[in-house]
Amino acid sequence: MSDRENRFEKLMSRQIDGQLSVDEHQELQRLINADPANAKLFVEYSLLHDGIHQELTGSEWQEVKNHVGEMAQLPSVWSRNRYIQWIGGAIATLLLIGLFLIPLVSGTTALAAEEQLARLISVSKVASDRSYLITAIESNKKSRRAWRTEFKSREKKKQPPVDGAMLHIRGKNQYVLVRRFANGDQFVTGCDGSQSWAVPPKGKVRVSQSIDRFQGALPGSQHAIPFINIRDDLENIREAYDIRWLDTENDSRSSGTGCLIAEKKSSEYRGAKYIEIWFDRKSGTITEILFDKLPRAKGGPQSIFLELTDQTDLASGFFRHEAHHNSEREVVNERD
Amino acid sequence: MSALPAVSAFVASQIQDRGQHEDILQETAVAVLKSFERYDPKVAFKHWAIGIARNQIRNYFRGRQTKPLVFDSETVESLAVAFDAVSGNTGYSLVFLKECIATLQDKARKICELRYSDNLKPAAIAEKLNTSPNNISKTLQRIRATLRDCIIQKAQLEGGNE
Repeated sequence: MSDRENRFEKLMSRQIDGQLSVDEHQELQRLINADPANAKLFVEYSLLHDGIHQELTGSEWQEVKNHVGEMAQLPSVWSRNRYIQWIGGAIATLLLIGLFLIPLVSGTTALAAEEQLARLISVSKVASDRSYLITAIESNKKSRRAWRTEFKSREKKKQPPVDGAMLHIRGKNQYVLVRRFANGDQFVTGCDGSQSWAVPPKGKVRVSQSIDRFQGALPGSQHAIPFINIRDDLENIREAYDIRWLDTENDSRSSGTGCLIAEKKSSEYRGAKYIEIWFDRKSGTITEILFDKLPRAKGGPQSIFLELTDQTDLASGFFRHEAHHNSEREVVNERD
Repeated sequence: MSALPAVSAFVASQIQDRGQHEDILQETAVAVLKSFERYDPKVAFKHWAIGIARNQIRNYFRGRQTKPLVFDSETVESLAVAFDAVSGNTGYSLVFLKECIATLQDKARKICELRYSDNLKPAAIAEKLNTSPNNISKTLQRIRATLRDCIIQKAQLEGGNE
């Protein structure tokens, strides 16, 4: 093998493993474009790389292919040939995450709901500090993959459950999520609007300039509605869901609260199939929110319920990591 | 070869995180469904779908501080052509991959599992195995070359022609 071929193979391998510098990436692109044989070799290695992953995990499109029997639910606009070409991916990937629901809403109810949602969005711009208790509702039905993910998570015992956690939120990208291990130790993650951070019970405190670095544990974060930027989340709901207004005015049990029900428009959107937003009729503050029928291909609960428990103003530095550990802890700034 | 493995491999060649890979694949599938009316049958379907996947990668990381290095238009074009060429080549078939993985030595197999099953990067694997990241990178490169050779050899034995 010539030095040039050797160099190209090295660059390919490093690209596949995510290790290339910007300059090396440019060099790789030049080599791919310079010779169709290089492009072909890169494609072979890419197929191999993806194939090994499929083979060793049995995930994604291998599972996807098992669902091809659901063909009848495809849009009629597709010709059968084209359909067969893409079926393994497009439709069954959606099946994997359980995204099939297209509800209908009556026009007048939807209009009233739109007005209420617009009000909630408006109120959320000036909302004060809020603290929510999170309850995760599990289901006995779990996909094989969900079981595997949960098992691995338990095995590592590094991440406490989101069930029973407290979520404190303020302005845009300002949140603190406090989760507890069974022994009472706290694992705190958060963001002060410009830096995100993680404070485990022991060891180093990690800080990142990427604001979404430690969002993984937030309810709904995998589904585009992490519930830390209420306004953005409500805008997302307005776009992706059919909204209807649940008339609770004469319901003594609802005592001054209103409810919007959001049902996902189509499988084009990620997220829970069904959302209930309960709010104070006078102030427009969201008091409870339920995310139900969450996609579970990656594990996690079937439903997440958040209940407003406090609106007391938090200390000004509460959303900074320093407020959640003693000054002797080692702080590591992650390179993003 | 259907479009899915090609698109999946195209995304995997640029996105190392398997969760993100899965998200982008899903979003590409949705985008293909949404824009299918605009599909020009004169263009190879796989070619078109890879272009959509490239846009979805860009969309996915828009607004995020951490962005992967993605290929430019010229490179995407070169790769789309190459995907068509490789799919028409009977000498390169992943049907033999399972058998070839089974022939790996224990150590190579272990590194493969850490890289692919546990989704670890070379530096993390090196830490686990008490060796250097560079050593792991080279070993992974050798493993992939060995598997590619094995696949081609088996295809030739089965009567394929490269």
